Amino acid sequence: MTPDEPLPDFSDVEGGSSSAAAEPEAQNAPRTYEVKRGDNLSKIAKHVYGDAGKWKKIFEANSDTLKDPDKIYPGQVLIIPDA
Amino acid sequence: MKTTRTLFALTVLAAPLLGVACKKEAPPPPPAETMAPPPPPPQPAVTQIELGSSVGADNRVLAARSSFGVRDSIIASVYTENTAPGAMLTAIWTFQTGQLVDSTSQAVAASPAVTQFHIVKKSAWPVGRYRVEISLDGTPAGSQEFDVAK
Repeated sequence: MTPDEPLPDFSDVEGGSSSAAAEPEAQNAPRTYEVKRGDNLSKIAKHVYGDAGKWKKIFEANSDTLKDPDKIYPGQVLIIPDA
Repeated sequence: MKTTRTLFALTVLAAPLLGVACKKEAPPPPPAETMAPPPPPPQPAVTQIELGSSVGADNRVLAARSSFGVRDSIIASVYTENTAPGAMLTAIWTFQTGQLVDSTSQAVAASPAVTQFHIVKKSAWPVGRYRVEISLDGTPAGSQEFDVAK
């Protein structure tokens, strides 16, 4: 975006929210991540753990579906183990 | 024989005295137990923020994502612990250099809780980098960045 470009219009954005007590089993359920185009395990590790170096944890947690850490596909749902 | 008896008698008589003499002094009583200071009460905290496009009834996003399409709903699931009744979460959504997209506040359910904030746009989302900042009772508690791409 250049300085001359008008600011985008967000006037048609609608926001909302709700809050619920966490179910114990929900707290313990494994986290998942849906792979998007351009993702790789390091990028996902950076997003979920804040540390790209933890990609191997994700790879190991998904060893039944991932045979090569460099081959993940958009739409794939990965299990994200606790950091 | 008489000498032997006398010695025996002396030994028997002296034994308790020796025992008293050799008795160790009783150890001083232990100092009165001081009460350990009570642990500080657990602090209210945001423990996790997840982004996605859909949530279950428990407000958890079904699959975390960090990038979205221009027509997607964008949802942030915010996990909190140790919050007091009436605690307030606020989500401020901004675009690129800080242009405000939306701001929503929500009272937190009984702790622990999962609170979802969502934004939808009737027209397409502008492509670029976005950020959601979460504050708990006015104190910054975490943030997540995400992309919207075509």
